[in-house]
Amino acid sequence: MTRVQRRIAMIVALVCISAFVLLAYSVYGTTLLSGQKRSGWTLFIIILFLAGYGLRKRLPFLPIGSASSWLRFHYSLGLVGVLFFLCHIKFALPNGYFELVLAGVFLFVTLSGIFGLLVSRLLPRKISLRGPEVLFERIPRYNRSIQESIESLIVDAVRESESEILAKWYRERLISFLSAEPKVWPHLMESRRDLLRINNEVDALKATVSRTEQRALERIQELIEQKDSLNHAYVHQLILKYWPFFHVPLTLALIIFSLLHVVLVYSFSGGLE
Amino acid sequence: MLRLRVQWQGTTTAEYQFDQREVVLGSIDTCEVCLRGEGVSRFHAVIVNKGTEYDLIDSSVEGTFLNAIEVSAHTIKVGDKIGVGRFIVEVLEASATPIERGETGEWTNFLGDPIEHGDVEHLLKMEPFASIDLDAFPRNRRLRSILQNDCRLLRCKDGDIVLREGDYGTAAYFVVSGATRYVLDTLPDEILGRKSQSRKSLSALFSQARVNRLIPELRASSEQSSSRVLGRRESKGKLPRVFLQDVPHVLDEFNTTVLTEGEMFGEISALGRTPRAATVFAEGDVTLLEIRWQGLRDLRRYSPQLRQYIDRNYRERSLKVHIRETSLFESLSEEEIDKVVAATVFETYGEFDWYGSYKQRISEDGTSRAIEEPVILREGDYVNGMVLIRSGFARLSESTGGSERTISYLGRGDTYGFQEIAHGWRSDSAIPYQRTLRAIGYTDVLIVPTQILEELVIPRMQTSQLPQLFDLENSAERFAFGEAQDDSVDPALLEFLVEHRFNNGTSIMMIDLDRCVRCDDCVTACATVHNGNPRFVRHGKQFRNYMIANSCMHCSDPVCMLGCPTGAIHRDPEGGQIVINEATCVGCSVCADSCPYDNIRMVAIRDEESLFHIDPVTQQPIVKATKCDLCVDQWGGPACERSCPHDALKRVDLSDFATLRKWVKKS
Amino acid sequence: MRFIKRSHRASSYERPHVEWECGSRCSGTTCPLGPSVKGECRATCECSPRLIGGSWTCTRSEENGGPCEEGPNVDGTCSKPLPPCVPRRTARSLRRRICFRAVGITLGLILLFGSGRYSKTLFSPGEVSRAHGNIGDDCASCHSAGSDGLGGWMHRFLFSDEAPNDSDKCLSCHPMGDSPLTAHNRSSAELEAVRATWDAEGGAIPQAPLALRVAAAALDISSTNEGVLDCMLCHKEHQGRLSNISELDDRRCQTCHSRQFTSLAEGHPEFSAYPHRKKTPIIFDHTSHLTKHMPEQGKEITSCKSCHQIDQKGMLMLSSSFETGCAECHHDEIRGEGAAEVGIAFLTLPEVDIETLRSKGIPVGVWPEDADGELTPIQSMIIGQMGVDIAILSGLDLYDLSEATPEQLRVAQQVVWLTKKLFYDLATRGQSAMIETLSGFTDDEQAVSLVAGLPPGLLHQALAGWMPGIRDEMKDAVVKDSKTLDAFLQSFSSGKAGASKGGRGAVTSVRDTGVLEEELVSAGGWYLDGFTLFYRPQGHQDSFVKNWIDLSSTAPKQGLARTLFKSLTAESAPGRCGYCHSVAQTEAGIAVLQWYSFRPETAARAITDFVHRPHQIKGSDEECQACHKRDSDAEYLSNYEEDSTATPRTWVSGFKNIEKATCTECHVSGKAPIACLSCHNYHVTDLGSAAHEQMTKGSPNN
Repeated sequence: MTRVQRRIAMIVALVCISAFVLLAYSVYGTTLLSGQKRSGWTLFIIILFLAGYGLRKRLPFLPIGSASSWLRFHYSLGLVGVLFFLCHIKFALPNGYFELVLAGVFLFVTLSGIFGLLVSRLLPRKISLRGPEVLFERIPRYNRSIQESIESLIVDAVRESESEILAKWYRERLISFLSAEPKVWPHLMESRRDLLRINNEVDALKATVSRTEQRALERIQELIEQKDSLNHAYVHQLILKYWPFFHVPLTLALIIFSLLHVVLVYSFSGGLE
Repeated sequence: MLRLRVQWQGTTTAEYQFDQREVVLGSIDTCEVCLRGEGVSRFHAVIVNKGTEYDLIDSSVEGTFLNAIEVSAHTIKVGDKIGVGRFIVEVLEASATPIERGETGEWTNFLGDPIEHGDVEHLLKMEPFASIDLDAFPRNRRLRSILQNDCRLLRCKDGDIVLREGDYGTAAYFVVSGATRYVLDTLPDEILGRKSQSRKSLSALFSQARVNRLIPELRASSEQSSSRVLGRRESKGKLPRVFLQDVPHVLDEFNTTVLTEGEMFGEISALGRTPRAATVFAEGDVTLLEIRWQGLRDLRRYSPQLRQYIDRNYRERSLKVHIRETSLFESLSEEEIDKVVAATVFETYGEFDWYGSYKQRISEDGTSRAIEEPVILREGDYVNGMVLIRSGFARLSESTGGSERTISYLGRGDTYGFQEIAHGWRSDSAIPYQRTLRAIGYTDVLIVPTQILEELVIPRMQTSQLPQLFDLENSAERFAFGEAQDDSVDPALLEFLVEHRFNNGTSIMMIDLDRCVRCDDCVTACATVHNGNPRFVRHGKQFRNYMIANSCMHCSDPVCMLGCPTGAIHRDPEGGQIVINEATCVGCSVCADSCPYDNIRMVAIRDEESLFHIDPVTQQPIVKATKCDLCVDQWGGPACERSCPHDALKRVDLSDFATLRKWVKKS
Repeated sequence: MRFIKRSHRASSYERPHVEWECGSRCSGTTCPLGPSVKGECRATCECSPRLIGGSWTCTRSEENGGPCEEGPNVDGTCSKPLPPCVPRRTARSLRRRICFRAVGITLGLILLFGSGRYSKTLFSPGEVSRAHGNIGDDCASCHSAGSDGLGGWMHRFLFSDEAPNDSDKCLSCHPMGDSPLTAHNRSSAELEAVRATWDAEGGAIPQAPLALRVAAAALDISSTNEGVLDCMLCHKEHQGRLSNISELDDRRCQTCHSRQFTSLAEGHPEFSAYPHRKKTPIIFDHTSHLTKHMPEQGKEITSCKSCHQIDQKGMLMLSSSFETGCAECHHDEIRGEGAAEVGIAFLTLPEVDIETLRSKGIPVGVWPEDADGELTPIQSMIIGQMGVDIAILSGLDLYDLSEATPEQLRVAQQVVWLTKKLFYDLATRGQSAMIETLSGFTDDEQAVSLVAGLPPGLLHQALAGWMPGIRDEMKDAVVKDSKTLDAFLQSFSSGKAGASKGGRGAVTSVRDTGVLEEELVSAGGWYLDGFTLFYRPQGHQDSFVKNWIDLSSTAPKQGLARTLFKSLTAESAPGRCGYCHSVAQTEAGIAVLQWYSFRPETAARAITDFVHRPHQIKGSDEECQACHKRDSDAEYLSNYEEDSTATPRTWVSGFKNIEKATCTECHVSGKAPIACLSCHNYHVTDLGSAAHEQMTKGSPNN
């Protein structure tokens, strides 16, 4: 079954489930029975199953299905979870402080999850399209080696042509460019503004310097291009690596808050079904 | 008493004093005088105490110089300067006193004992060495140095197992004295003393949950001590050899043939890198000459008689089996098979150690096209026979205007050419070969002549079995026999895989970079199931959006296993994965260097305080070879593939196209 | 990019899962050893040189740049020492630590705010509605768990098995009758009865709306834990200050109903006997008034408002009081203008066959010969209450005792003596004597109103005229009940039987004989006519007449009281009370006269409320007649005949039953509210149907 077929099957299943859930919600709406407790408990169990995916990733040695099928299940269960959440809060903002916090945490976890889904689907293509395939932990070392080779080029050029132009330009402009922390948004938007600006500077400089310095500048331009694509890779991998830092801790907070919520509900619900 | 001073580019690096019988100069650590550098063979030369004076005997590839004159064997005296590579060894004192035949230096722990100078002379008198004419050998590769360097004598007692069926080996054996038994049937594992690799127990499985996140490459220090016994350095004894407990029972229950003096066995699997075809064990006391494949290759190259001898052996034993296995010749009778065997020509293309030159070429210019591959048959040649590939790989390509378009590649057991012959026979207008077949790396080929096929095979087949006729006019849809044409797999991808010899891999780690989020879950999962140590690195050669990660591909032609001195790296008898037995790995990094794909890495092992285990002799951290073992002891197959959340990583078996096509299609 | 090296010597394993990584990984070369278990740097130098072939060679890994040019020092130590770095945590260990911190912070927040001052406001699920505003912040007032802290709630959640029932806390402020937690606050038996009546006469069960049918199929609705309906089932608090917690949509109302329908227009059963469900206590025949009486008087009634006004709440249409509505015509009738009998005979000297009594030797004492009165019901009741068995005389005329049995004669004697006693006491001791007499069967307060205005002086004169020698006959004993009666009678039987004869005839009046006594008291009051003391009602709400009627209905001696009640409430009786006020049976089956037409404050909380004001469409001519259509051919008065079988529930109303169509003309979705609760109440004390009456026996509405 190819990926597309499976995706269609998943969507159909989701539509059926949500239709059923909304029907159940409206049925409960017409009666005096408040489906709150049932939808609440279902939501809680769904949250535990969703958190189960994180647990599964910590047990790769168990033959309990591949992580990708777990993740697909995680996506669709997440959507169903959102639906149950809406039914549980009756499609309206809860008006208690604690409940607002609880709803806020749930929404934040969901939004960061969806952000993660989008990011995981969009960014890899951009990385493999543009940049070199580099391991995230080694990018600093590669930056350093680019910086060192540029410095050696500059030193040689200066020694040969005895003119300070390159050294001065390097000190004023190039060091700041090389050591600057890569800006996230421009790289995400694939804007090459900074690169073009520095290339223009190099071209301008080339016109005024000797042959040997021009050759050095060409080599430097190449290295600058490599540095920019390293920055591009760094930014994309940074997002791909750090977005779960919001999603996972807050899920734990969500679980603890919902436990407290259950305790409160059972103490104050006055024995209602 | 012998005193030597070693100088390197004018500076004295060391002084030695020996009063033992033999002093070996060479590039590996165990030599008494270890000279590591350019142009020094592993066992370059040996100074022998002849009782009254010291003789210098050269056994190197590059040659040994005495006072700047190359010598093969010469007596030395005080003041002589021995040139070994760029080292100058000055003899300070050479007062020889006769000593009884004492302990000699320990050479790499082959199964056999180091060869004595006298034994070489004895061997030269035996057949078939006697009939070899010495001057056919080039100056630097004389028969005597081959026997000295690449051979060892093996003295076995009754019941010792020399070869075990299914093992991989790189040495051939020549019976010097006594008789050995060649078992035709397959012996059960327990008799062979091989215990199958069992999967981890459930409790061991769960104990992996507590990932060791603190100490990389942790090896309990208790474990280390035991491995030293097996290690080669201290152990005076030889590797514990497996022997048959109950020889008579084996003899009468299984049918065996006898190999007496002057016969050779095991040379086919040594040359073709195929698993041992049968088990051989000693009957009574036997001395065997163990010849390494480098020595065997040179013997075969320079002495025609030896080559015919080996070919004849091969024909008698395994060629017949090979022909009978091929589907075309199933219906032939026994004597027809013999006729085919007799007519078949046995050829080899490409270099045996292809990986050496390949690695160097690839790293040099990085472009692939520059490597020319020996052509087996060219498009348009006269069809002189059907090609049957015995080992290695061949590329089938079609010339489209200027360049060559790879259609597919053939592995062991595939054939090509039968369709042209059948076409010619049915439409009785001979046509040339429609494709070009090139050898990739090192390929052994059998060519069955056309008339044999037309006589014996084709008349017996119904027309339905015969392959389709070629539609010559419409050249585009010409159909290649052999591997079904897989136009569904992108030819450019195919080209890339074949160029980088990835077709050798049965389980390459392919990562789809358009789906991989670089989350390193695969590396973490690999670490979790290997006690906190990942066994691959998530980088590697790239083709558009596919990356072949640096993880062991478990090659069908594993060149890494060739150089391993202790046989630590071996193929798991059950699953066929290439695994390293850490206890016996001595860290010589031969396998890591010889792997053409850089998939084996040496790691320094540590103790509980995350300090290196130091080898008492060389004061250096003990190093072990590590590589992916395809989670042979886990439940459910490779952890990396199962733990990738975005289905981006897949262990693809390139020997059959199905998994590759399915996965590429799916993404 | 040449600096990306992948060979097995230049690129070793990446370890993303470990805790620590070398601090100088990004800036300088990393040392081969790496950080220690506890994350300290153990860097010494870049490599540990090796003695090969007698010379020290550098063993720096290719990753860090391969063997260095300088090579190790002569003594075998590395020539390039490494500055110690500050090991950093890897990304995964950072994430692990952040997770632990997140859990810690969450638990800290919960403990911090869990049971402090703020926990109530924080954990309250929302503002309380305006009605409960004053108790908003004190949870314990509605929740039994309100007083506990976080620990208490945990304990309650983990260990207590039955859920706390907080409904009784609601009932402490909102009493809902004796069975508050059942549907409509009526006992389940009554509900069952109502269902039975509906099943019997309700007609075909309408088809329930789809949603409710589905709900009934999907969920087990009706089994709300054995019929106990907690307040919270319908009233959801904490929905914000402006929320109306008694609001409930139609379908939820009908969850428990067996007859479910979509809306008023489709499926709601037809109205039966609405709104004139209860027999009107005041007999007012609209038809006769509007078509006959009023025109005769020349009054032109243009609109109902001339008699009916809306109450302040704008809900009920109250009929106007007697003074404003009816007095104009009926006031004189009450006073007896032009009526045959004007006054109520109170006490009289009955015409007794004295000769027979005397001939039979029954002492009767002085007795006016020409006493011509007839025993009045009040007098016979009082005498009856004193222990005399008057019933024996029934069917016998006092003035002809010839055939009377001795028992009857004795009773007749007792009647004579007690009458004289009554007159004498009244004349001599005035109203207090009568009060003492009546105290036998009524409380003092009612007794006072019963003798209000009795004229002792008038009696004194009359007595002097009727029986001058009475004083020395009478004894001062007070006769209240049968015991004192016997003692009193003994004192006569022996002594001086009938010495003197009756006095001269009636008191001769000083007035010219043309004027009747009754006209003298035209404003109402006491007058003597012949030998009978009469009382002429003063007008509407005459307390004397009202109290005697109430006394007659509640007095213990049923028989006499009944006759008195009948005589006083007869249609043509003086005061004409029975003419307008109808008689009703109380639960105990006692006939009482219903004084009030409709008193909203005591009205039962009916299941249907109709608010008049919004329906008063200004300017439309027929206004009230739009709904209330007079049924001119209904025998309205038949409800009030003696023999009528009409009960408060099943009676013939003067107005036609309002059809449902009248309401659905406007009350359809979009035009006017059609929710159940806009017309009906849930909490009711009267289910407004036959079953209710059978349950409560038509409780009087006084």
